[in-house]
Amino acid sequence: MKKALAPVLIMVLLLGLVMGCSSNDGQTANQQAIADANSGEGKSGKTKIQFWHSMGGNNGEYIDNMIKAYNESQDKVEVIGTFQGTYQETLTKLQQAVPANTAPDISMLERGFVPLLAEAEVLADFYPLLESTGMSEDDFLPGLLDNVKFNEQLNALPFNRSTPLLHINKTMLDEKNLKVPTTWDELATVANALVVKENGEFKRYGYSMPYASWYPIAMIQQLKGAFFNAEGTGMGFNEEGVKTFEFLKEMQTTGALFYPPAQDSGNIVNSMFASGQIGMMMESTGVIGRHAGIVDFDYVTAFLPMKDQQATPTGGANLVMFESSKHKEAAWDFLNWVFNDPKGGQQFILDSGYVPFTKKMAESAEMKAQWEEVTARKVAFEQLEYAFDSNNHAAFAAVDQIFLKATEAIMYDNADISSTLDSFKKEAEKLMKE
Amino acid sequence: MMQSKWSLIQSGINYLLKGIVLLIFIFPFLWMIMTALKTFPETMVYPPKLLPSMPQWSNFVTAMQSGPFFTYTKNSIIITFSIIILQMLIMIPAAYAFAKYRFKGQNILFALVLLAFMIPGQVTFIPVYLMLADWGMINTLLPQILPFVANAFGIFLLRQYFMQVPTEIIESARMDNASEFMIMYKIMVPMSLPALATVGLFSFVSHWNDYFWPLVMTDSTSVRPLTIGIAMLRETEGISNWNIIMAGNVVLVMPILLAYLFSSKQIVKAFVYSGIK
Amino acid sequence: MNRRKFWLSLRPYMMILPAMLAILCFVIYPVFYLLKLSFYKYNLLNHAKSKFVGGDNYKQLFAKDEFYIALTNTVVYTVVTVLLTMLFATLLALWVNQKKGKKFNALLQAGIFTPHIISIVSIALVWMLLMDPNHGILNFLLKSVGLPPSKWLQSSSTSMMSVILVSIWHSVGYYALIVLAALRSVPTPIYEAAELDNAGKFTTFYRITLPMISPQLFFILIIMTIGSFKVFDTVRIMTGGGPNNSTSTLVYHIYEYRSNNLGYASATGIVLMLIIAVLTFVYFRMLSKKVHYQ
Repeated sequence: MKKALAPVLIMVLLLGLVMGCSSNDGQTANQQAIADANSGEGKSGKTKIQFWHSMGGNNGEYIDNMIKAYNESQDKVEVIGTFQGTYQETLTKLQQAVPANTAPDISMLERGFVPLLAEAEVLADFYPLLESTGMSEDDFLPGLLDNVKFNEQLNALPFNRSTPLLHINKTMLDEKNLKVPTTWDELATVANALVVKENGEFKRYGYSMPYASWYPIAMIQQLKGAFFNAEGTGMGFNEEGVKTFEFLKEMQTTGALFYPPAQDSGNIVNSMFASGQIGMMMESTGVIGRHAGIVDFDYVTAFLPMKDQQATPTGGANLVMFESSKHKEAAWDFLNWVFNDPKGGQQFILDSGYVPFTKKMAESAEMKAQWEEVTARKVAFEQLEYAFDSNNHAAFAAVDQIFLKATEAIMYDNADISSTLDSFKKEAEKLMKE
Repeated sequence: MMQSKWSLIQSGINYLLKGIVLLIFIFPFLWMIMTALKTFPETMVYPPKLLPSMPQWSNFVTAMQSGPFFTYTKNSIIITFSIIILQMLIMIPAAYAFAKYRFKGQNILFALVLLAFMIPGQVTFIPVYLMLADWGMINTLLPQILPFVANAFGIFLLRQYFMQVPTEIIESARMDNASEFMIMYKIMVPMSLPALATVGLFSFVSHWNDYFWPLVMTDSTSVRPLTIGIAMLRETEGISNWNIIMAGNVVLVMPILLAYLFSSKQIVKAFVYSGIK
Repeated sequence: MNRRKFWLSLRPYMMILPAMLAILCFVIYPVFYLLKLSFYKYNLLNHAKSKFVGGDNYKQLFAKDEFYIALTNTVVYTVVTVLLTMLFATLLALWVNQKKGKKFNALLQAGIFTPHIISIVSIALVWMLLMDPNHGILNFLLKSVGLPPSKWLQSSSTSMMSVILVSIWHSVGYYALIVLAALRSVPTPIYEAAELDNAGKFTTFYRITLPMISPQLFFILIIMTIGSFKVFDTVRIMTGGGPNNSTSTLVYHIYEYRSNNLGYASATGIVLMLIIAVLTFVYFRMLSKKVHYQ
């Protein structure tokens, strides 16, 4: 009798455990309490709204200022901003937070990642909210409303939107009597002419771009290719991809192109540009505020150089609200303020250099005055005419990840371009089917 | 005469080489502190200079204001000490039972403990995250505490120690009607203080310094510990603002470095102990 | 009386219950859960959309170059780190164990141990600063003695070496301490006997010291191999697995795919666990045969 007892006990212990681990009945109350403590009304009676974003550095400060201005403008809602790292990292955090029921009320979301969350049906519909304060989607610039509507719902609204631009150290070009390039061929010529080489070391490069898929995508589109094909069944480029990377590799070998290390590439490229180690760069409109009026050379921007056509993808991020939010009205109060108050989104756009995203903003006196003063910003807005996006697919986040791996193999280790892209495409098409 | 001159040179070289090796291990910390006190242009000077022309204490203020560092520090303290206390409470009776009792299934259960020692968190973090998410704990500090309350290594080590306590002492205590609880806390614990100190110190160092687990378990600032906060400085301040990043780093390192300076002997002893038993 | 006996026999179970609960809940159960996840195409955002896919994740894994790269990197990292650390740790220990200059030796011992108690986050950050290709002090030192500068972490040919360097620096002091303790526990009469036999320094080390400290060396071998297979922190902070996957390791690979492809990441986790299990098993088989115990 006693002998049989122990194994039985162990079994019971084990069983109880597995049940304990996998069931969550007893925990719901606990969970509720935590949720309340975190997002519910604070001591002051204010509704707390969690807002995740991906803006570090200067732009992070501008976002903090905007949030502060809102919190001071009224006494019912308090917005708490949290910096979550890069766009890709913010997405990862969201992917983890949604199943944990800890998603924020509002988040910034890279425009290419919206379909992934929208198709999982975790985003709130903005239509009724817009209506509740007398707004409509027509208040936003139409070029920025691609890829935000799913199943008759409006799941995202533009915020810090951008296009890549050509940023130029005009002083450097003038010294060598060079003109701002408008085509790929001119770009290669100018970039090569700017190179300074001493004792086998490059002291100055002609051209650069951060490590991201966005820039090769722009180039593929300029070759009349597309990232995903129109049907969303596979990639939309063949030769265009090979030509893009061949062009970059050729420039890289002569020092005309500096391709930065992956970690923190944006900061590296921008600080090299600001200190005169790079003559031109393809970078987001979002960095204009970092250079205009600050660098000690003549700083201008221009449309991206064209190949077979003038083209640019849009980028930057949209704002989304989560269906799980318990304070949609309060959250909307904040967003409504961001979209309409001059101290809201408009001030952030003026500070940072992202493109204005509402019609009212684009036509405002402040924006016009700034365009007058800093033409670099106007260029960004005007280039929207050539903007279109070819990476709208729920699998973009996963495909983007492996596209970057292919980019690394080519740009850092001279991997064979066409075979690398071929194996990328095979894997990508598999991801898109799932 | 020649002999002693030669041995003098020999020992001189010996000291010199040892000095260089010591420098290899100390210099990076020195460089960290110096960089933390420099201005931004000074960090970019080439050739690099060791000393800042004017110590920039404001770097610490900038670093600490770039995020909720008070919260990070508080979280690190709460997490580390909760783990140590809970581990002690759970580990002592378990090690006692494994060392001084004979019961059915003992070997299997102890094998399970050893197995737990071998399976790393780097393997189990995905299911543990999903489980804790299901329990609604992600926005609390519990995911960084609960998975560590059973310290398999500690149970193993402590059991070894308890086994060396003569059974007669326990028997005679039982004769005097001492409860098992009294035996544990009046006899076993005092007799195994070195082992307990080792385990406690080990836990402190490994959880105060932990990076992987909080990285995969947290997604809001309110529950992040210092290590994550410091690592994030690079993103908020930009990778090249080394003076600010190092200022934050000094804050993370100093408590441990100071503790080490004052009790390096005990700490070294404890670590050696863990390795030879 | 019988009832009392029953409760007495229950007592040890009650004592180990909390520990067993925690182990089963946070180690054993998750392993089975992980195994289950590895057979699913798991949708993190919406559980309802998850699909059972059988062995697909494993098929994908074994067909993927990136996995083999991560595996190779991990093996290279482990072998180089373990061997070099053991070598340096033994040399340092022998050196610190010299009779001359006891005080300085104690200082040296405390110095080389320091990195081990500091967070790897801090260490990685400090070394990134030292290894900066343009302004870093390491390149300055290289240039000042006439050597060519290195790109350190920013080139795929040197990145792994740089990560290994930092790992060795971080942990060699700890292992040197363990070897040192072992050296000091070798009874002096043995050495005296060797001296009488006129045995040379090297012979003494090879014939006497090495066998006597082999249990500790073996302990280091196991602990380090298993630890090195889990390498992640340095990689995450210093290189992000790059450039071009040159420092991607198994754990980093799992980490990278944990949200976009959770089932795949789980399958990789199972593979990693099996590798560690096999290593442990092989080592313990060796232990029972080879190592000399007193």
